Amino acid sequence: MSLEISQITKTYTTRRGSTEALLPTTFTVDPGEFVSLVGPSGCGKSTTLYMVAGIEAISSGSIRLNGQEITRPGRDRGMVFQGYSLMPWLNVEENVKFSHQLAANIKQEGTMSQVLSHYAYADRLIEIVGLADFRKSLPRELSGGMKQRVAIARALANRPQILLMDEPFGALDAQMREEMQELMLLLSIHERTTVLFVTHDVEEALYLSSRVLVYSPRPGRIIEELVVPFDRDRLLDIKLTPEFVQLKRRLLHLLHGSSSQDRASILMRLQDPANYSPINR
Amino acid sequence: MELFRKATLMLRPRHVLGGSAKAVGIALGFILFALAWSGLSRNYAAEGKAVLFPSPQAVWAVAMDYMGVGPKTAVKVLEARASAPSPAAADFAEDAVRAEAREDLKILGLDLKVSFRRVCIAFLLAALVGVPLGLFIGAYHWFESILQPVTEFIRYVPVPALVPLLIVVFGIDEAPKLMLIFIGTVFQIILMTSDEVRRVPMDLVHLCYTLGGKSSEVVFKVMLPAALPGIFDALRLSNGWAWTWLIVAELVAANEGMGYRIVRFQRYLDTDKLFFYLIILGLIGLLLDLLFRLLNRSLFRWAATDKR
Ligand SMILES: Nc1ncnc2c1ncn2[C@@H]1O[C@H](COP(=O)(O)OP(=O)(O)OP(=O)(O)O)[C@@H](O)[C@H]1O
Ligand SMILES: [Mg+2]
Repeated sequence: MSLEISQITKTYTTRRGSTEALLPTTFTVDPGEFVSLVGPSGCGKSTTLYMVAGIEAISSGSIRLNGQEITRPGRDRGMVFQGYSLMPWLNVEENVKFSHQLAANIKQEGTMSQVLSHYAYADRLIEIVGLADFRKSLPRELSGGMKQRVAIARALANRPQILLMDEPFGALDAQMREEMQELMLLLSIHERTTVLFVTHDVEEALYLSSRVLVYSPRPGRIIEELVVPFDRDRLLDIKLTPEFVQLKRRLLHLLHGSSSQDRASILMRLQDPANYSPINR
Repeated sequence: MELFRKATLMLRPRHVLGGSAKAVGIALGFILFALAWSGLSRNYAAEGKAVLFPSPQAVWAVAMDYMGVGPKTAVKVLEARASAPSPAAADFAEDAVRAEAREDLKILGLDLKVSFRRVCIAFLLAALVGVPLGLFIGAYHWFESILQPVTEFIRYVPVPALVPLLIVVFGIDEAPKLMLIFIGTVFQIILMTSDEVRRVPMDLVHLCYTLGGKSSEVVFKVMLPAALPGIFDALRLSNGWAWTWLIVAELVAANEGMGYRIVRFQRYLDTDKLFFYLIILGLIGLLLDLLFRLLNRSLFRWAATDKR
């Protein structure tokens, strides 16, 4: 029961030539694990996730879930996108229960009691994510954080074996982001959800994950694997502990190894008389 | 000064007008329209050609005559009564005049009924054919590659150019008129529908797949409902076109209907009635447009966009 990714690569071919997005990448995600992929923009994190989801074809290598080769999207891999991607014409409850009206799920659920238990589970999820009072609200009436709660509940209601999340909190303000991180952490512990999580927020990755994989700049490959040493059931305060800050610094250095260089080159460009601009003078 | 500041504020791009300011704007538009119209008609009148271009007042009088309360009817009634030998004969003569006036209204009713029927049948058919085809073109690339270029090609054949062919093929009954409206709108509906379907965010499609959806479910449970408000708006636009093609069809060959009557009025120089019919056509368009918009808003509350 695990996700095995071995030697996958991705090369995008466009009219203007081909882009190597991902160099051979290998890792596994075991049941109950919370694995984050972090890396600079454009390094291939989303690409990796989309290939696991079966949305993007892999150029070479293989991805197996429970020994089964992945070729297309399936209900065993739930997805939460950065954009909220709710069905705008359905209310909160209908969105969460959207999968229940799909033929594949109706067939699999079989007996009436199973169907009912699925409905009950969806109802419970709506309460767990704190939207009990907004069951009948339309997406356009919800805030960004609330929309993402719906998207998470919807993915979980389908009981996937693994939850794939692509920068799910990227568009939220700092406070809402922390609230959602806490919700996600507790959800993953209590529902024993296996999660593969993409973010470029190092702090978020450390706080949520049991393991963090660090990508190099494009073309991406894994340059570091970090097992987060904290107890899974951790408090938000942990972000302020010296151990946490130290790990965060280490990851940041891995990511922005060249940031002092960047600073120097920006300053150089700013001070170059050839680029002199008279604004504010 | 304060008023001036407010006014300049109102003139800025995207500035939302209050209810009364908007009403003033609408009234202003119609007043300017009426002024331009009556100015033109006065020019014609000065040259003694008032009959070629009636004034707004003349058309208003015709409208009243259609209702049986206009000046022409009144004059005719008076004349009829005056030349009658007895009070009983006068009543009889008045009834005859009024019946004649009602005849005009009856003809208008008939024209409206016939024209509405033609548009309804042809437009419904076009929607019934166009929306599913547009949905499949927007959803399936293989379907698109087969149908889209052909559709684009046919759409650019000017519809009136088809009239002679349609008459040769379908004769001069109802069929060629329905076909003209159908052909004139169905390709627009197909292309606009497919555009709306293509605009459905890819994330929603992916999402449906990851929840276990089949291809058909992606099309009918995600793409169709997501595109429906846009499709509805496309139908509103092409309904306007349907009326245009209806008139084209009726101008060429018909024995009744709004377009046919307009040609008759032209032949007998009944330009005031002709104008009256034009105004009715404009009002029909306006009303149907409004109806479509209201329906759209009440059916698809989730898609309503805020003005700000
Ligand atoms: N559809 C595409 N066609 C061509 N190139 C693509 C396509 N999608 C992604 N790429 C390229 O592949 C590389 C990796 O993209 P990807 O979206 O996986 O990056 P990412 O790590 O998720 O970055 P970000 O943090 O900005 O989301 C990028 O350099 C991008 O330019
Ligand atoms: Mg990304």
